Amino acid sequence: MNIGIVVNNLIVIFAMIVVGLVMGKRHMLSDRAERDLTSILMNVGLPCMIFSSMIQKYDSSLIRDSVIIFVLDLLFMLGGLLLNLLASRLLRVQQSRRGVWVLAATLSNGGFMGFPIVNALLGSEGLFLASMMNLAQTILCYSIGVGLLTAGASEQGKTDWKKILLTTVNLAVVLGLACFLTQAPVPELVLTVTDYFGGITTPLSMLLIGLSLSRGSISSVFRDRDAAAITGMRLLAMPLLIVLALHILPLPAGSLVASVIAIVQAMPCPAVVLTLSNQYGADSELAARSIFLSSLCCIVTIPVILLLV
Amino acid sequence: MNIGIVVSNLAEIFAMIAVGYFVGRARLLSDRASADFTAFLMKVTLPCTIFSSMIREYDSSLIRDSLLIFVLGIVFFGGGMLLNLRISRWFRVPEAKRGVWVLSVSLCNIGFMGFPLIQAIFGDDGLFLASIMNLAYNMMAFSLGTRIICGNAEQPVEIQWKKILFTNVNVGVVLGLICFLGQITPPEQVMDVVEAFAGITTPLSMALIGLSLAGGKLSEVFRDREVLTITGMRLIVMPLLAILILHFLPLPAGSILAGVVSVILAMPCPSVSMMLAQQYGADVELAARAIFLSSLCCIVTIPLIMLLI
Repeated sequence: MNIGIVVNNLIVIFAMIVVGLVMGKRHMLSDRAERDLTSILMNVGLPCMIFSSMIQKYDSSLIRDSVIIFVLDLLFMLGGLLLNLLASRLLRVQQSRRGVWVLAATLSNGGFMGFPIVNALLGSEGLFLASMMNLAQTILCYSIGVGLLTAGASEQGKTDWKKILLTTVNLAVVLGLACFLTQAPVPELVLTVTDYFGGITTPLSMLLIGLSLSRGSISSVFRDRDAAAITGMRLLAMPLLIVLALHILPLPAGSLVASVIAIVQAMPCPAVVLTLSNQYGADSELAARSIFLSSLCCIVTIPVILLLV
Repeated sequence: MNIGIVVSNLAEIFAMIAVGYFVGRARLLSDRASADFTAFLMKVTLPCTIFSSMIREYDSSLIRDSLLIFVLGIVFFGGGMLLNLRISRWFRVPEAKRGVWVLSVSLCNIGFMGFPLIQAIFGDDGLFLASIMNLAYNMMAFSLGTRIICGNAEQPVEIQWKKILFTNVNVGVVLGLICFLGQITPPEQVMDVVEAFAGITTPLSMALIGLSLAGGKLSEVFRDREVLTITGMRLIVMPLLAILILHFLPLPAGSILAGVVSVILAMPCPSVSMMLAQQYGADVELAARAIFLSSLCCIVTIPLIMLLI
């Protein structure tokens, strides 16, 4: 297994986080910057990235596997969410931190880290399946995920589902799905512009992590009990449980589904948790710390998990 | 000029400006967003864009063209400012507005609009040369330009060379040149990070222009006589003059010099005139309106000017 790719990607991630850290420490931007950057990400960057990732050729041989992986991943994540809700209660995680805790422990960094690794190990077929998996995560994330975050953040009993569901990101998902299923020809101009704006998502997300971390001290990351617990769940407990479940399931022979799921689920916490936390006023500090800590530790855990694949 | 490429590139650029416009209209960002994103662009992404454009095979014609374009830059911008000082008297521009008038007409938006367009049309070669011309531009803008703007303000002029020369953008140019001349290739991970940030420049700078357009009021702008004359001079007279001069200069055959210089000089009014006006107490309103109107009208003028190149 080529550790090189993993290391490479991690170096790039950390370099981008550091840029954000430096910018934050030097007060290069105003204190509204984090919110503005988040807004750009949520309303422009992410929708574009999601939309353009769905514009792919319909490949009939992959359809069966796509449906399987989509459903499986949804089930795994729902199961994961329930499990982590329970775990967070057992560990007596603070109410205000619980939403972030559960999300960060359940979701994984499919897009930025997962994709390149899947692509390198399993080729474009694997990549296609990974993007279907990403779709499942996206849908879950921007519906239930947001509900979880807002439930923890505000004191209101009722979550505003209309506000949660009618977002630009969800619009992009719906549009993207529509274009994919109908194979409607998307104009070149739209593709180019969405590519441009989609491309700002990764570096800006990493930058935001760095900016968020710059508000506190680095050592506080390591002293945060919750961040450590999340990291343990995300990098060890979840992947191991899922790999176990995949072993037992009667999946079609020669299918890449199991490998793709295992690889993506071994990834650290995704940046989207921070973006959403910023947007919905949840504990973004915990989010940033978990992402940072898990990205640091995954360099050890990923090779181990991959050995089991 | 290959019309097809130009038109599609311009379409992309204007589509991105439109995105920024709608973001502004939807009031998705705070009023500090413009300043924050500008700082981010100037200090992080633009240096990365410039640096990465210089990492390439040694090309002696590029060196020759660089020297030429530097000289042309000094001549066109420096000479242009002196010429327009005279012309402003013919237009009977009021004393208090003269500084901003001259700068808005003589200088142009290289950084935000010029670079992306040039990179799209002329590739990295063009970007390389444009960066060199930008060096000459900055030197002229912040020395002669400052003098001219202060011509009608109370504070004494003190040209802060240290501040002019030691900017992140210049650091990017110098580092890039060192790597180019020494044929040093930075490690892959470094380039990955640099390129990730460099990719933010085009969409973000275009969105910024759109953002500022969203904030302006058309009716006010059209009633200001000085704004109209600036726009006419900046978008039509100056580019045509430049093209004429370039026609008669003995430039190396097959060089993209003339094209690059012409595109740069067709750009709308630069933000630097507003920055300097703010700093030295000149007419900021006029500068802002000029940027607004010229950015709006250039949608029509740039394609027309491009036909002549």
